[in-house]
Amino acid sequence: MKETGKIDELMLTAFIDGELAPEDTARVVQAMEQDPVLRERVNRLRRSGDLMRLGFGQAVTSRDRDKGLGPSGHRTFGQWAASLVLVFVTAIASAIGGFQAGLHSGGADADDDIKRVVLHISKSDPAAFAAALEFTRKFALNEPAGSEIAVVANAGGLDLLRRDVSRFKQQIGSLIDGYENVYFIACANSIKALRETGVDPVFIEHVDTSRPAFDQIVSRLDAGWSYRKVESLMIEGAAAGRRDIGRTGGASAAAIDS
Amino acid sequence: MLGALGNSTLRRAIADSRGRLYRMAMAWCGDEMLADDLAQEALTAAIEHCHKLRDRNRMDAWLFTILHNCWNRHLRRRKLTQEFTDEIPSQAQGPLSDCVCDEIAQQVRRVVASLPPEQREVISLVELEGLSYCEVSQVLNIPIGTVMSRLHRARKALVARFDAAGDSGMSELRRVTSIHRVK
Repeated sequence: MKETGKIDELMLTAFIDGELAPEDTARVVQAMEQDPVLRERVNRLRRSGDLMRLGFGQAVTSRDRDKGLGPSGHRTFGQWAASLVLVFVTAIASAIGGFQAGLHSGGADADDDIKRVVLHISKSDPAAFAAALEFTRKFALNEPAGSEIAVVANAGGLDLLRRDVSRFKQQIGSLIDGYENVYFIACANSIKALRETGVDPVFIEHVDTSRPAFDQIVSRLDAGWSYRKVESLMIEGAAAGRRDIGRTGGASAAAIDS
Repeated sequence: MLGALGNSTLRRAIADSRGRLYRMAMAWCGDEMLADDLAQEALTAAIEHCHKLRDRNRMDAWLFTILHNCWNRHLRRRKLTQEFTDEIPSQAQGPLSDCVCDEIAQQVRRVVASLPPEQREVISLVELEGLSYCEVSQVLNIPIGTVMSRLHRARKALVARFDAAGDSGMSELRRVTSIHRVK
């Protein structure tokens, strides 16, 4: 490690970030006043921050670019962030509101019995796949007309919906063909990532591959759907011997989310 | 699960972090689609587990820890750590394509992508998010001394490689970014 007097390189880095003790900060400042070479070294290190902000400071997600919230829209980062907050808060608030209404309402609304559930799968786990399909099948069988369920898969969860690898393709095909209120969705981002590794996945017919999983989930939360991870089904199933699923079809939003 | 989420303030704060998670993921992986996916995965996990966050003052560090876990899982899964160093985001489709600093930003991203992953992680957490050394230490689960040494090496390499990579079109940028704050 190079040193300038008693001031070493790591000390300069800590100085830039305000991580030095006050007495050490004063020592560095004093040294810089007397040493132009040291000043230049500090300035060079500080340029890294400028460069990082130039390189990544205006990076926005593809989802937000689609909404015209990126730099090209001439909106500031603060405006962009504020708008994003509104989108998400609205979505989450709607979801929570819908969930709470489903939990606590006394049945005054005729639509109270209608359930809408988004079931999220992100791992390649045959046991989880089986639990998800069992839940979905019973939901389709037992819930009243108008109820809907969307099985959203990303990352390893894509394996459930891939015609080339899934052990469950016949069951999924039957669910898709047999029920209009059952949807299977594969994350567009995960598909692209998979293709970049050289794998060209083939999906079961009628699986929706058009959008990223998070967009699919958020848009449904925004519409008042309930959210579940498949792992929670397995935990509940193990804990309760699947009694709830067997008795109610596992589809009650109250039972699901409480 | 959604019904067990914390209060609306925390949910709002987590939702507000998507852009920052994406930006951090971009700095780490250098790929827009993958960064989108990592941010999405981290945000989903954060929403699912936000009831576990005890100290809301630590939310940023908590979120970036989750993102880092997602990133590490991805690296383990694909074993492509080294491959990412050569990936360069598409300028034509990049988010900065309409920005006057587009060329500069692309150059910076190329240089950052050439840094070792562990240096990329540290410098982006400090320079983009302003995390303290202690917070970075917690996010990455490394000693503070390691944070400092990686950060210092990353800063020196970033500036040196950027300058070395510069052509005539970069000279103006260097002038701009060389505006010293220390007299």
